[in-house]
Amino acid sequence: MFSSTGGKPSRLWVERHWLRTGEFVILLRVPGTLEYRELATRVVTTACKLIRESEQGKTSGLSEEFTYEAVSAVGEAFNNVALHGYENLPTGDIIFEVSMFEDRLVIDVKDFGHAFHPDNAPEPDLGELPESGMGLFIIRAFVDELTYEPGSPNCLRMVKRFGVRKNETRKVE
Amino acid sequence: MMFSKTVEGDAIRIEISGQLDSMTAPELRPSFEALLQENPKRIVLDLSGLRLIDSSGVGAIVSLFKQVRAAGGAFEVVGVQGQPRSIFQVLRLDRVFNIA
Repeated sequence: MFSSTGGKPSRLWVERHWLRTGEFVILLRVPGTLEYRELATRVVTTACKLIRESEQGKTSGLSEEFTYEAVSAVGEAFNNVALHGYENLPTGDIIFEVSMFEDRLVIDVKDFGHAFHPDNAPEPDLGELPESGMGLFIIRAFVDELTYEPGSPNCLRMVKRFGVRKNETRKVE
Repeated sequence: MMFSKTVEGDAIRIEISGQLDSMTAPELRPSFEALLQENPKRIVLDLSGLRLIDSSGVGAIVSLFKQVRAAGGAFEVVGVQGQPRSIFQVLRLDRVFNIA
């Protein structure tokens, strides 16, 4: 389904599939331009609401902070693709796969633009009050696992586990 | 994103509401430049109506803060809540702006 090069930014779709009881995946495919950023963050907000209202969410005591962090991470991931991934390329699509499992939220962000290497991104010096270069820092701070697979598509995977209070246990690598 | 400016004595109160992100932050630049031309003694930035911010929005605010401070003005941020509060905290701006 996602084998296209994404060169025609004309498609926009949202799908939701149920996996097992209480588990689901939401698919969103939009053109990789900033106009669609808010749509992506709204989809993740909705997914987080479903999770927080689910049995697992209630058991884990997920707070609004969980939503804020997931939405922030997705927004930054969208920025990276729209501003850098498709730089000097025809704008392709961004695909979001938002999956809820028993103990975690998994968000895959896929694009067909330039690959990047998260480990090579310099960490901002917050003491210097930077005005840019904070996106990846925010993503790392707000998710429990971050992986990146270059390819066609490139895939940035962000995992947020339920029941982990990131503000108490977070280690920014 | 909505931007408004009110003069209160020697302070200028700015309200930014809605969504301040990579899409909307560039729209603020002319307003901020005009504001700096007034050489404000004190800026009060009211973010109580701000629903969402990203690193681009933070960059715009930090840029304004630096310029106001460099010109000898005072800069205060009030009303930060929800998602913007999480962002300010993780970037340690809550300490810079003395957000309780």
